[in-house]
Amino acid sequence: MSHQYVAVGWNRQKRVYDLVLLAGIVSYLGIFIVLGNLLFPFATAEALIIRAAGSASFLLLHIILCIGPLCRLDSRFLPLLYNRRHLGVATFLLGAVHGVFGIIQFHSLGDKNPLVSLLTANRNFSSLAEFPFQQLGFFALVILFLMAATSHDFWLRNLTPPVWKFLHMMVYVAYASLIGHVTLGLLQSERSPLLAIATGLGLIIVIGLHIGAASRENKLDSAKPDPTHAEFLDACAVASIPEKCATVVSIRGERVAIFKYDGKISAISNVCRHQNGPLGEGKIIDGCVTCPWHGYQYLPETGASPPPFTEKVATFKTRIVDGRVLIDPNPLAPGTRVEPTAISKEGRSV
Amino acid sequence: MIQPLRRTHRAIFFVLGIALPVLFIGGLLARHAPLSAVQPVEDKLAQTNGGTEFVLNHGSSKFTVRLVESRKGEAQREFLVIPSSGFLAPDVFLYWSETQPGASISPNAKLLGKLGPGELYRIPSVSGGYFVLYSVAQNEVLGSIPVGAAT
Repeated sequence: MSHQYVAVGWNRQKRVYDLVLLAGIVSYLGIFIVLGNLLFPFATAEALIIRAAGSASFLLLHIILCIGPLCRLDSRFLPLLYNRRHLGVATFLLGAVHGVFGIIQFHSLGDKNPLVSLLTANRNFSSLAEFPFQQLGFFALVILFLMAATSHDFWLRNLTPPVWKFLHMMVYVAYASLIGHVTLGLLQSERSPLLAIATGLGLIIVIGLHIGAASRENKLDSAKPDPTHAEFLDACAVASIPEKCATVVSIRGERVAIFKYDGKISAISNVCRHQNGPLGEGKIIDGCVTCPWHGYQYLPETGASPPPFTEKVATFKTRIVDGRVLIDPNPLAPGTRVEPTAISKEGRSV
Repeated sequence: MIQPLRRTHRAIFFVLGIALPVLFIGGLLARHAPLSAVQPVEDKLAQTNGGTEFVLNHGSSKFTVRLVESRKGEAQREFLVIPSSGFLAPDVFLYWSETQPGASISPNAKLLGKLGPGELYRIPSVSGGYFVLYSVAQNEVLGSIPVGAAT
């Protein structure tokens, strides 16, 4: 929540997350450079650093792009999403090391400005085999830089969520550019099929996961609640909602999270005000619905964040009839208090 | 995510799901075939006063190298090795090898110098061998040109 800005709101989970990330990156770079030295003794230190950093950045970007759909397919992956922005910053930093060393190695010894040389040395845009792949990598790096530089909530608030989200969805453009950078660059001169297979496999996994998750979400979006109880819609069985958790239903195209807690039912919008995280995949912690992405919290009966925070989401009226939760499809204004529906032993509203 | 964003994601991955595999497979198909180091010399185009031109395979494309013997001495012969303007690889070095090279430089090969116009390369005249064109940047033998023993 955002009443003040700090560089990083550290907590134990974030520290563990970043330590694992750092250990993984250091191990990868170390193993790559040691093995590279052993297998290719003629390779220079600069070449090994360029390849190690570039491949680590490319691999991390794949992991980042897989986390979103994995979380939608299986909630056990949600801890990976918690501090994904640090993964993004690490991806940019590794890419920057790759880019800077590459420019020094290949473009700094001529009589042109290295950046001018990078952007103008090869203009063979009509040939796939000789395409100026370095420009593609540079373009991707610029996008990753903009994303890393604006990853803080300060920028989310000041750029406004639509602009910020548009900027961060450019990651798909960066990914496409990097696939071009690798395919039209490294793979053009690489004789071993292993790298081509690995790149193709990564591409299949990323696209397959996203299409799989989108297909599953589409089914949920198109599901129609049963309108059998006047203006209220039949949403789900009370028994199907885990304690202090939610069941998510789609009502008129938008998702509603129905929470069960302390013998009561409350329904709020499924969309977190922070980064549109899925509130229904979170839990009730300390009496508040807690977003699984970044921990934003809302009171289930009002949809409002506890003071001093100001975020609010829409609430919905509910009833319980014959063990089924009925929900009024008309959302109330964000932050509107709705008395929670108590659950009787007979499965009716109290 | 809200529904408009979910729709946008679906549209993005519909496009990427088609475009990226096409780019990837197209890029792989467009690759130059690996250089043939076993039979790098296709034929001799011409024997002229300006030297002898050799055509070296480079996958689907070819490049030519002109060999001009500038001086015959008792102990050494001197050659100009002139690549065509469309020469592809950077940092090409010229070696002299008495045996036909494989994919890599023979340990007994002798470095003559960096390949460039106007450079003169001296080789022993007593026996034949091969000029070997080696790309430092690509770490591979680009091709070899056979040279017979002096008559």
